[in-house]
Amino acid sequence: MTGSVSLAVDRLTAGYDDVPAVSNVSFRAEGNQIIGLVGPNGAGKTTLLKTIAGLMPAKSGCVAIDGRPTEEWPRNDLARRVGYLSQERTVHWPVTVERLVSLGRLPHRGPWDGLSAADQESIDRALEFTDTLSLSQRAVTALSGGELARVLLARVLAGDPKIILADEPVSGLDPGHALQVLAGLRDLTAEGRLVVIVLHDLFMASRFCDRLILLNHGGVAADGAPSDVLTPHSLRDVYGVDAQAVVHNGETALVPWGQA
Amino acid sequence: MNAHALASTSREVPQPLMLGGLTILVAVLFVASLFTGRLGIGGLNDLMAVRGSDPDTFWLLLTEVRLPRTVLAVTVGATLGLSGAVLQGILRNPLAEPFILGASSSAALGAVIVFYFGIAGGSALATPFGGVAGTMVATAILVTLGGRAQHPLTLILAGVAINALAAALTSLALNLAPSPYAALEIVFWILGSFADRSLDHLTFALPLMALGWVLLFSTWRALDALTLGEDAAASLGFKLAAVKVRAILGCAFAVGAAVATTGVISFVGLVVPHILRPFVGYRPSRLLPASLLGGAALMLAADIGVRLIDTQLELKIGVLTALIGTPFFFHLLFVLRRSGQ
Repeated sequence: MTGSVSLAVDRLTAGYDDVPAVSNVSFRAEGNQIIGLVGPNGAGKTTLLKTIAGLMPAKSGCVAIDGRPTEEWPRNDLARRVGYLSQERTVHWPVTVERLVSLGRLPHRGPWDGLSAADQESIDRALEFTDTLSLSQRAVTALSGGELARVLLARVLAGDPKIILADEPVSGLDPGHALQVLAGLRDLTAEGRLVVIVLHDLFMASRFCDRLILLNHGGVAADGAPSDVLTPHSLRDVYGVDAQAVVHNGETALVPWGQA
Repeated sequence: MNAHALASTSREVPQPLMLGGLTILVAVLFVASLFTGRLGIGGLNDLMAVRGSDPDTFWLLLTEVRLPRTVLAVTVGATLGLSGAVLQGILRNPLAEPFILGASSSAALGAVIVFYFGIAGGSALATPFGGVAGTMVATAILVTLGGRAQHPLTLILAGVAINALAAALTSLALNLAPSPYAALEIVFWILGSFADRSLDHLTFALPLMALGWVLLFSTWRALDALTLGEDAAASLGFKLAAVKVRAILGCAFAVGAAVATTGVISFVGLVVPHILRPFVGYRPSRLLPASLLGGAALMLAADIGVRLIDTQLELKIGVLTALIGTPFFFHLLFVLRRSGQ
């Protein structure tokens, strides 16, 4: 199962309302990369991510993982393959960090199984990777926002998913923690994983993503390398902002500067 | 680090010790309840004296009077503790409880309707089915609403509305009751008591409660996953719609049958999971067996209490739990308000 992963979104239309939040979106992706979903508020980023994760039904079109439509996957198998990090960072009971992270192993365990050595190894690895091992016996309610964000990421990693879908994993984090989480997500792609994240910070998106998909009004406005997707022209069209180019070590990034 | 942080690591008790201790407590209270009579009359010594002189009366008293009452206290307490723990887990709301959410009053209403309109020949033994129907309606409304409720108190308001409707319709039945005798029967469901229940009552209620327990327990893994919220739980492979249906049906069978047999007994489902939660490390799945046993123990203790408290008429157990539970509920409201939820 460590082989390559693939994600194919084919003419996908989704959303709960009469006006679909996502309409006619298509793209394909393989492992070893981090894809950023960017776009203004209400562009359909979260709906797209949730539909890919199988949390929302498609109105039409199809999402296929490893060549198999998500609705044909047994739920538990899909849960092992795809990890989903919600935008919502509420933990409802003050369990310890280690117990919370161990919930990521639920799809790997039978109803009556305790934590196996392999489960514990995955949990420890996830804690280590997110630099939260020292917090493992703390109650999740006692964590700072940055610590909680990393612990919730560790929960996803504990399940050893080959595809990681993360909805605004760095929103509300200070720059130091945001950089730490994004660098961590990028490192994960080295093991063949596919990481798809929703981001609002265009600067971070261009710094950390291999590919960006710019959504606008539920459709794909641009798809490709960050430098091709984020142009002064596209930012003006989609976000209605004027952008300034910042060049550092030969890399160019656009910074939104004022309203167009 | 806040109080929660310290609590979750320092007060936890290993699961076997927890469940073993609670089981022993229930067993001791069970025996004590069998040998406790009104105001201490008919205790162990009296019973043994009767046994010597009149063995038939001894066994009759034990099996026809004391045993049904004690078994009811155990099973109804277990039902209320377990359903409180499941409702709190499903709704992720520490205030969720069959009584507060209106499930108990709806069960009482269902039982009253069956009784009042003489459905199934007006037999008191058919009332559990009315209770099941009443609870099912109330719980279905709450669980459907609860998934979307952002604030814990939104759900409590829904419970207030359901309670108000159930109370109004029960009052209507009371108002139009054809005879004082019928009115007295209806009041029984409002007050709640284990007294004067026969083994016949148990034969209908027990299988329904047992079915409810099985359904309620079947949600246990999903409750752990729901610690992370609904989206994350679904992404971990749980079919939440099916889990909610099992919780609704489980509450309906267990609470409906319990309330139809004993009347409304409030706050047990609130107090028991709340007290036990720190000892199971706040894990919703571990809370289920503990609350089942804890509810049984609390109910047995309270029922022994009402028999020993010196009042002219025996205090109804529903009255006692309401008197103790209401201040506790206020306390929880203040705690929630302080923590800014």
